[in-house]
Amino acid sequence: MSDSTLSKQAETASGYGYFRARMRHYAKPFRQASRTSRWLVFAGLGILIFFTLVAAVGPELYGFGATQYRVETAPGQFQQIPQLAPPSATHPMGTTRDGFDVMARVIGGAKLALIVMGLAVSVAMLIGVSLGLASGYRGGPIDRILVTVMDSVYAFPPLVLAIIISFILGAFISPGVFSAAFAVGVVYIPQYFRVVRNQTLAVKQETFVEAAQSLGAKSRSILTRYVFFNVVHTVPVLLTLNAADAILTLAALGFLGYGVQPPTPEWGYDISQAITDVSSGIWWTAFWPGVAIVTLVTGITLVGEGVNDVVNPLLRARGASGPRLPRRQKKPRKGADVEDDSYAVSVRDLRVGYRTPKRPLWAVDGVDFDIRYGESLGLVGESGCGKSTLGRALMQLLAPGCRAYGSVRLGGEELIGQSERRLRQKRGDDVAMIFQEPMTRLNPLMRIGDHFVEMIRTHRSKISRKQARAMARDVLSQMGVPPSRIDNYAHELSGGMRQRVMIALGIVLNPKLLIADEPTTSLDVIVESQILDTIAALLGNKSAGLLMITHNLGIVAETCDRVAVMYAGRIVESGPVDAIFNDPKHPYTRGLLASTVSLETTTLHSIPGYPPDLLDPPSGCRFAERCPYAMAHCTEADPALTDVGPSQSAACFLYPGAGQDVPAGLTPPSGNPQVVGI
Amino acid sequence: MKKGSFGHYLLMRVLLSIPMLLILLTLVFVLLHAAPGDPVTATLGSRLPPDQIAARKEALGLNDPIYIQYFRYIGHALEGDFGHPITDSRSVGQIIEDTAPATLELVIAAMIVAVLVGISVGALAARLRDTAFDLGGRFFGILIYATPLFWSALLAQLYLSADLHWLPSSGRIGGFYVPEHITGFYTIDSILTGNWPALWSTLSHLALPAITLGLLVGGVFVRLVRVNMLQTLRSDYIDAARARGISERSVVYRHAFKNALIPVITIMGLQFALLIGNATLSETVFSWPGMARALVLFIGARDYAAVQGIVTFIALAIVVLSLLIDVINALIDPRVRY
Amino acid sequence: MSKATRFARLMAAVAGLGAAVLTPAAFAGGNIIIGTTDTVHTVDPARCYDFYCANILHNVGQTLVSYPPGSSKIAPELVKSMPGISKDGLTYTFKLRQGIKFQNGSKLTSKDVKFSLDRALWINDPEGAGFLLADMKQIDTPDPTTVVIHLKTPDVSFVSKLAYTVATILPSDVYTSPNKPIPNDAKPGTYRKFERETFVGSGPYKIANFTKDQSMLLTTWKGYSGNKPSNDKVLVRFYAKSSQMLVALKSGEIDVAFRSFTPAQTKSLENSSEINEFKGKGASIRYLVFNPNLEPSKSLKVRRAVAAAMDRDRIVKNVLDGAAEPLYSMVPPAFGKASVPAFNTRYGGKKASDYIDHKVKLTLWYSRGHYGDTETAFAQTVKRELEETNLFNVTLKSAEWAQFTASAYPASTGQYAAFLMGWYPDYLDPDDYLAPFYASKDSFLRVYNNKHMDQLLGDERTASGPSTDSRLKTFAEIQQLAARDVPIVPLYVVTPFAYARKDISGVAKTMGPAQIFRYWVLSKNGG
Repeated sequence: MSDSTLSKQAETASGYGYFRARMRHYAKPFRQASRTSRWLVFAGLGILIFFTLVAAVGPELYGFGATQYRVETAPGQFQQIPQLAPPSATHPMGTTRDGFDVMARVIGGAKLALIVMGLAVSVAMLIGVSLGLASGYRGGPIDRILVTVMDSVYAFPPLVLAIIISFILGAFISPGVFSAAFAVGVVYIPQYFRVVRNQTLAVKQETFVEAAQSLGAKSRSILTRYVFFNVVHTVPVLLTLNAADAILTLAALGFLGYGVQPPTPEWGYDISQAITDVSSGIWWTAFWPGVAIVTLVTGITLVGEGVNDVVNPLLRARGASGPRLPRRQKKPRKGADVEDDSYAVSVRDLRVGYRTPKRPLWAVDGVDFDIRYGESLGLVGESGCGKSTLGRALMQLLAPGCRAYGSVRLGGEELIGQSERRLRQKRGDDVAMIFQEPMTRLNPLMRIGDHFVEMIRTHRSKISRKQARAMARDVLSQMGVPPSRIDNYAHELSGGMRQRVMIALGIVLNPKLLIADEPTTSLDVIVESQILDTIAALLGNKSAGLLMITHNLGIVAETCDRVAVMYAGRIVESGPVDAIFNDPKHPYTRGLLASTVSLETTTLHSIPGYPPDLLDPPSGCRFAERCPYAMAHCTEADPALTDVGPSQSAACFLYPGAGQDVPAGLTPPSGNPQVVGI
Repeated sequence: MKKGSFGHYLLMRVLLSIPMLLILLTLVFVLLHAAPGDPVTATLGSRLPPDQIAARKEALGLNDPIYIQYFRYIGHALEGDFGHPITDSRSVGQIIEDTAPATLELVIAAMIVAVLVGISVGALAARLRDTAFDLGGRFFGILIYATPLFWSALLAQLYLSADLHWLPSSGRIGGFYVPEHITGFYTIDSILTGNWPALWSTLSHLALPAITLGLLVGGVFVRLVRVNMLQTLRSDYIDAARARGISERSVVYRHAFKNALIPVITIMGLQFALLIGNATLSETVFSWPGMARALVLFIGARDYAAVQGIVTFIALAIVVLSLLIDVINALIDPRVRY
Repeated sequence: MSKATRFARLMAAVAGLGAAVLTPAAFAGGNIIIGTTDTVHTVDPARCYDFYCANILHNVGQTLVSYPPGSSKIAPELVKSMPGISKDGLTYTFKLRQGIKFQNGSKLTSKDVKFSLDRALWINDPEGAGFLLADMKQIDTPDPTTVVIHLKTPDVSFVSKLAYTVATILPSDVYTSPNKPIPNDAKPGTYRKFERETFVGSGPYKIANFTKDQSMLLTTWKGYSGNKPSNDKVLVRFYAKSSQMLVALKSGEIDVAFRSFTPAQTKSLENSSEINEFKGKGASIRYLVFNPNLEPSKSLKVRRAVAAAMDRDRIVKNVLDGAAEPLYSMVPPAFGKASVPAFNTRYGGKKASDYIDHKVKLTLWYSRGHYGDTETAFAQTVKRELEETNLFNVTLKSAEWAQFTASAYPASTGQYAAFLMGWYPDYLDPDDYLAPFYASKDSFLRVYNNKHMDQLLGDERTASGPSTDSRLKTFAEIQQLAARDVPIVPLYVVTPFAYARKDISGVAKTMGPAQIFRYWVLSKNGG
């Protein structure tokens, strides 16, 4: 949580305001969910509320009772309700063989279904959760026995179990709501048990619980609280699933004659009674209870599906809401049309926008740079500044709802606006990407060799499988991977080995541009330096350019020729490595360097504050808010990149040419900030 | 057997399933004996004078303390002797031999339907995420799950059989063609004996029950496959594959599909239990001479021996099926370690 | 062609081919398919005690005496003539017909008769009907065609008991016998050892295939001594629900449906252009039992009030859509003079308020899953009729059959004050509708204990003939007495119906009072 939200919460920490903030916090994933998910939840809730209302007030409002078979025409004078009357004004859904009004039966059935559903799920949750807590907390033989019992019960056909239990219970208490609810509910106990027990075990092993225990805290209450917070994400989905299932199980029990005592209105039982009607041409007695079941179960399932969409971050739609981004940008910036095909990649006025509910978020906001063949450019900046988006934009590999504008010329060919087909041909062939997390970037079900064969043959259809494998062996051994590993699966390789495989995959087709996005973040230092050496060695033959995206300045110093510093979607300074490290010009670059540990470090600085919200970027220089040199005009106008040294440029009003006059007498900072400070 | 080998893994799985079987047996035993009423009175109560009934009960050991009955039962069960039911002239083993193939044939056919529907609709819905097809597919999945089996089966039976005469309404095979008994699976038996009319009759009789039962689980699969597909399609290696320029088709069907199916296969194993449970409804609606319906009838007659025998068999079948699923999973997923 | 269309075409082809194979025409021939919702648990006469297994045994086996189609009078079957009975009523002498063979080829002799009757009695299967032969003391076979049966006590209904399938004559070289009575407390395995899963007898059909709960195939047997059946093969298909059988009958998957449709289903068949309805004579009765040990059934007034409150016509009309007859005595009207409508005489025109003046609370129990789909409606109608008197407050409760029978009776241990039961006769004699209910010791309900009644029951058993005037008088007296004390209220007798498609003939011939559905009289026109 950002500190601005924290402070807002602090302001409103009491009463209604706090409550609202809290609710907003809970509703956040809901607001982020796609329209479809929200629609699902609303439609489902609507159905559920409708049925609840029907069940609650229907019996009072409707003219007939569910087990009423005669109407009092005058005091003491009764008239039987006709049997099997088709739907009419008096009986909108007709009447049954027993002379009951079908609609009254359906209403009564709704009441029963909802009560049984509520009871069943509560019973299951109560028993399952407490057993799960106990089992996970106590451990030992009790846990093992409980787990085996629960697994056995879980593996057994639920309906059969429910029948047996209902049958047995029916012998003790006359078959009714409670026996039905219990029979239906028992089936779900293992599900809650599992979830809660596993969480309890996991939480129990957490160090903070041990710490709390050693401090004499009541471990049980801690446990309960933490388990509760962890489980709270799974249980609502489970709950709706079980609720829907409970309705169906109750109906199935009723259908088989193991449900509640007739003539209590129950949909499944009513359908079983109506079977004989249906085959003799009477449709209404079986039709309406069936429709009721389908509708209610659909409603509950819709809620469950929607909640799952909302709760499960993996299913949350990205960029699927809010105004669409325009197809083309209106006007390219001046000077954005430089065409020089001698570069591996040439980027001009690149803007990348994400679709968000209110307005587009510009993660990359007008960036220019070039990389020559054999040259490596380091792209540095804090997380969230748009580095990775920029990297992906170079191969037009953008998330749904995300769009890039400007110009990206790869080996002289414009990529923006290019067809997906052509882009696919370029990806892997002319531009390759090495990712941050080598552990998860290889398909776990494919052998290493298959990755190569697939990739090579996708781009070079004339190469045979055998040849492709030979190529793979070559490039693997070039990367220091024994070629025998070609038949291994990813999980059989170490992290460093996998990253080598990823690099090998990247270079096997000799791309013009190699993008390495934090390639060593997850690796240990020794492997890191080996990998970096390997990458550096690749550039020796001058056939490719390298874009090294990293937040680690050390890596840049080691591998790159030039550096571009990115802040809030823009490049604020770029230049040769030496210049940037020894004499950075932009206050942000200086801050960045000063906050890095190196041999020269005297005092470790940190930049106060946080990067701006890109949804609502501040006017003027985006760093102004945090800049120690900020001047009045800094927040009014955008500084342009201006030359600040030999092939070094910075976007800052401290230097002439940035768009504003530099105030007289101002000495821009210079020298190594690790030594002299910001 | 070498530790860590597949054989060792299988052995461990089999050994682990023994306590599960024991627990289920105990559970069913306790439940059945907890309730008042006994099979002798239930079946003979209207015919025999009380002293004779008492004698019969004594002879069956029904008057012994429940724990003695329990150990006696478990002892016999371990020897593979599930005793004789009271309401049926066949032995429990014979009943299972007679009825299990029918149920298994139905359940397996239903599973095939479920997998076909679930995978095709689910995968396509995931690929066409948030389009009309996705919404329709999801809704279809929910709707077929929400439709009670006995109700849809009833409607299908009335419309497709009674009105349109497309498919036979009930039973396992039509007219006078019963194939020679080899496996008890009519499809297999009729193929083995080259009895083509019997095969057609079997298949057409199988169609309605298998489709209605299969759709029920198919609805679950549609949702499951879709969600797994969505999650897989957002995984890192899919992103990496796209970055390598692999075609979308290949990405979806070569990379995502197989990976998304692994959790689905695991859950498939669990769905067999659901299918067998719901087979009680199918078999009732379609007069299918299977085990699930027999079980319900035996429960009603409180025929301990038969109920326990069938329950054990069902548990065993589920253990074997889930073992099978594990083996399939191990074959597909190289990461599975034993 | 896209994959999808190819698939669709393939499916269409498959469906088409399937339909072609499955059209009813494919089953044509002299073959008849009969549907039923009953089940057959066994085909061994020593064990069979259900309507449907008995019916199968009637078609595949033979008894010494039986009922010819359409007749309620017992006639010789395997014997030349009706037996000679000694004066004391204890010795019956039968003369066998000659040249009769069993389906395994061996000859039927007096030895087989003795073997079969002894076997059924000795196996004493608790599920079976061996007790019907319990009066037999000894069987002698002086020569291969003569059988002499000695009884312990005279029983005028003994010959009619011999018409039941428990007395089916079996080949002694195929079946085995325990050779001595198996005691009552024997373990189930003991009697099972002597029972067979397949049948060999001397009837017109052989059981060619039996798949339980699915179908039974009967083929005509060439060596049958009687007339050749009118068809070649009969397939009996077993249905779980009557609605399935109805669909099958309407779509022509089956030719005949016998036992049982619900009243609404029968109504939907009434005006069918393809299906004929055949009405039989009712033998299966329904009644309400009071447990005189429990409140409020203890009170004779309450019992009489209930008897007066029952509107049987309304039950027949509302619950059964007319497929039944009101029953005013345990003996159904099909028995002619033996049936005396004593309840009508005594309570006709009376009201509950003639007997009680305060409100009575009554819990009425009924069973689930045993008496078919109309049971709930039946119980509800009884409840309504009682409540509409404004003198009863009725709670309906139901229990699964197993639990129901365990809790309902005998009266000494029963927990239900009032409950609904049904009865199907073992043999066609009024005795089978009276002794099992009103005898103080030998009845299974034991809700009535009256020495005078016991004496009357003894009298009718030892009468000189089944339908002598004195026996009829005794019957009348028994029924009057039962109506006076009301331990049981008879309510209705079910009318059996059979349905056949129009091309089937012969059904009417077998719907007589004997309650046997003889397959051999059925034939398919143009088949």
